[in-house]
Amino acid sequence: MRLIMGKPEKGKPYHIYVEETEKRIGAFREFDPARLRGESAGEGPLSGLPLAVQENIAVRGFRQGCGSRMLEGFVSPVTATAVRRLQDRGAVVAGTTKMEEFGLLRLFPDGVSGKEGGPERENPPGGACSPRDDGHPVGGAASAVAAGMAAVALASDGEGEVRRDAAACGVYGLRPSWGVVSRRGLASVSPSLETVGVVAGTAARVREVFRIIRGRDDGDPCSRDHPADAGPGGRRIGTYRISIEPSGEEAWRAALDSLGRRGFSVREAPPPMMEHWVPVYQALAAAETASSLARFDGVRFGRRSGGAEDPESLVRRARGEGFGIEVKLRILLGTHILRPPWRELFHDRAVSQRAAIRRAFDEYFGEVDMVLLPVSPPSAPGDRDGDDHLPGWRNKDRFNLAAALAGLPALSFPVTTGGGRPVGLQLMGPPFGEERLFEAAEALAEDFPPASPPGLGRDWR
Amino acid sequence: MFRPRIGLEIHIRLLTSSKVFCPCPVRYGDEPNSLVCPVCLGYPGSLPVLNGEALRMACLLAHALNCSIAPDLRFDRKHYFYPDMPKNYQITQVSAPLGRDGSLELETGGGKTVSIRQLHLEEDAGKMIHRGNRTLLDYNRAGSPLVEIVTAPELETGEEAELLLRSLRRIVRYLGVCDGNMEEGSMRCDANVSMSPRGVEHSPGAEAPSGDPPGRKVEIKNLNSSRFVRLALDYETSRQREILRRGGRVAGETRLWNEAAGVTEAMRDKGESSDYRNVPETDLPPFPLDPEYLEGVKRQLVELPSPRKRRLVRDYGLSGDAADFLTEEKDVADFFERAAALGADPRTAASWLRSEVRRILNRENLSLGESPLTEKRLVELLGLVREGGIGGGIARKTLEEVFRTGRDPAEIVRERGWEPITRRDALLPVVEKILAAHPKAARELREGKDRALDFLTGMALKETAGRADPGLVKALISDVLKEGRG
Repeated sequence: MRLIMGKPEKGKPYHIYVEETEKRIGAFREFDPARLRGESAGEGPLSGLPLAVQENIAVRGFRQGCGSRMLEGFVSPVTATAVRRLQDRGAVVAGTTKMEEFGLLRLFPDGVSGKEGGPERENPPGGACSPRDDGHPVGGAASAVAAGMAAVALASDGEGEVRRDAAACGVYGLRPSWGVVSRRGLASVSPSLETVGVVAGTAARVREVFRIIRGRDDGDPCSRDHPADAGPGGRRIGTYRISIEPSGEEAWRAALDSLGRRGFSVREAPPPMMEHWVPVYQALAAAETASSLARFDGVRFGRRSGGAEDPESLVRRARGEGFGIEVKLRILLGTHILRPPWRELFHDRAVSQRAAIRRAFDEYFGEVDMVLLPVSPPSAPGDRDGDDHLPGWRNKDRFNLAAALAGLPALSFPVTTGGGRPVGLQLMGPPFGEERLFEAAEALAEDFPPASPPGLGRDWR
Repeated sequence: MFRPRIGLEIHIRLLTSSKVFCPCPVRYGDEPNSLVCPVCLGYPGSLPVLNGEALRMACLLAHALNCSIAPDLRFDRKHYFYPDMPKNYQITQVSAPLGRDGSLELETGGGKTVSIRQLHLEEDAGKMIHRGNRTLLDYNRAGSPLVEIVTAPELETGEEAELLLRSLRRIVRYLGVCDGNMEEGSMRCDANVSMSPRGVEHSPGAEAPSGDPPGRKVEIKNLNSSRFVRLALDYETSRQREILRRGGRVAGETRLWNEAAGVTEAMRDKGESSDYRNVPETDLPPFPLDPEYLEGVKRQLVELPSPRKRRLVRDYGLSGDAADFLTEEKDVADFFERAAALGADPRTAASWLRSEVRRILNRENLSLGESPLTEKRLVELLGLVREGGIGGGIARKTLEEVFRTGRDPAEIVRERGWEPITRRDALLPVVEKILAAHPKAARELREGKDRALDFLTGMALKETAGRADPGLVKALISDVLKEGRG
């Protein structure tokens, strides 16, 4: 096998290119393609392709830090099924990438605890890296792909991380239908809402990788095969007239025009129950997060706090020191709404509302084949825009949440107009509707060719 | 004035070869933390995968307890932080238990039937071991499959609770889903006790009426033998009765059975809420229990101890006690029925199994299945007694030899020269010798004291090491005395 891949920047060896680029970007938590070359099949359609894996997805021998102090030094003993399937087709794990703690976007300003000090003090060491010159923090997986340090990345999408980061970096990001890609190896915080997603520079690469990682895995009882008849098809696209930031307006219109020219019928068709997406997601995600993060107690793995007198204080210390502020707030919220009297009021209602949202989408996708929506803003409140209060911000974020609630596939893609920064839009379809999303995105790519990262050879794409 | 209402929560450890959500073996006594994997240690990214064998056993038990079975299998997460619980939640079934509304017949409780409220499948925790000022954790047990059975509070005495456990123990052993050993924790029992005024009846299986003052229910833990269950519940019911008799109120609390003192004691209140914040276990999709699958499991049901006992009494003319003994263990009852089918007299076979065979098995610490005694050998032995005329003593010695050598009874009797002496000419000298040696008994017999005949016969049997045919000996004694030779 070629030592990884392609010919980055005028024949520079790959690892030199990455080392230089990393100085600017800092996408990787650990970078060491040599370490796992032996675990790649070597041959296959992805032979030699560098794969970046977000650090909450298990790669044997790499630290599975989940962007949290809680998992400092924890080295995974297993490799996630999705990673394994790519290795079996020749891909090589180049390294693991940084992420917000457990993938939870900081909804609260860093100063929320009342203490001075930014991310370094109150938030975990993981956090974001910043490939954009405007300072928007973005996860390492999309950053690595955008900068040409990896041809493809696997990352988790719970509340839109894959799409948000891909959109911010001008690359493609897929959140598959829930259950279609095995979650074995993904440190889920909200199992019913989270999937393993794909980030790559083109829709074709996303599709190629998706087709390899999808399908039933005996290690994940929720995983299922993609139905054979779920091919492309359907050219009716619904949209919803929304006001997005002015810079996005032009891209939005351009995308609608392009789709119309290329044989898609686009019409106004608001997706159902939008006003419920945020509260329902917020309640369910918090409850599942509080539950799923209970296992991190410093007893069996990860951070072990010194000086504990008894098991209880050991757990208190480990969780007190290990979790960042956002995680703690969500655990508090989740714990709270699972207790009476709030349980009935919030959690149980959210469960039934979610079922209603699913039913409504079933109906909705009888009328249109997919829906075009913006990708919600890449940054947390208070960073750049005026909405520095939580409800206002989360409301802008809501377009990323529907797919999680209803288990739908969603593909974000960049649209660049007039030489400006790419704007991210997403197409969302019914369960197993990935192929029609790829088809539409490829049609759009004729008008909006994806930018090539600096120095990258074409065969990476 | 007050009637105790006792309900039991029983945990059954299933005899699967691997854990309920991962492939780690279920074994006890191994090196601590040697039977663990990322799943049963709750590592990030690990997912539970249901063990089909555990499901089969749980369904079998639900059938045996006449439960109605849920249309699909759903799991929940029950949260509480405890270091022996790897994920700090237990995967169990709260919202939709596998089985509901079952019943269990107490075997010797005058036909009393107790309602089973629910039966569900869940995972066990590890073990926390305190050594001086250190706390050690062993996760070998974590993730072992358990079935929890909750009865309605329809028991009234410690004895009934003990009977219920005994009946349940027999059933799980019949089904081969649990070894039923309470001392080793294969069956664990908690009890709840409350008192209701006489005359206030609750329909069986119904929830306690909401008008019941809260907190009156006392939960008792640490009951690790069926005898302790009886003792603790008898103690607790009389304690509560006494409080109420004096006009007091019973505090709702958790109490522990103190084996040494023979009392229940209030457990130190940790102030922990019993709010488990249950959520659906979304790592495990609902698993449809289709009727075909359940029928297949149902076909694996065996005849259960209670009906079998009644059938043994009816079909074989056994006493209730004998049938009770035979049905205690399935392999004993099976053995008995096979022996009867091979022609053994049922009552005689039952009596041998209950006395001589049991005595030897206990002494050798063997089960019937492991012993060299086959039903064919027992039938052969009983035939030698009935038709071949061998005496009880020889028969017992032969049985011992069967156990010792693993050979057939007829062969042993022949080789050892233990066949009965049935020829007059062979026995006559023995009889004459005995009469000569016991002139006083001979005189009493001539005077009509029949007891002397038994004595003299016994002496002749002893002289021949049990081989003499007792009937022939008696006839010879009479003949000799009549002839005036004695």
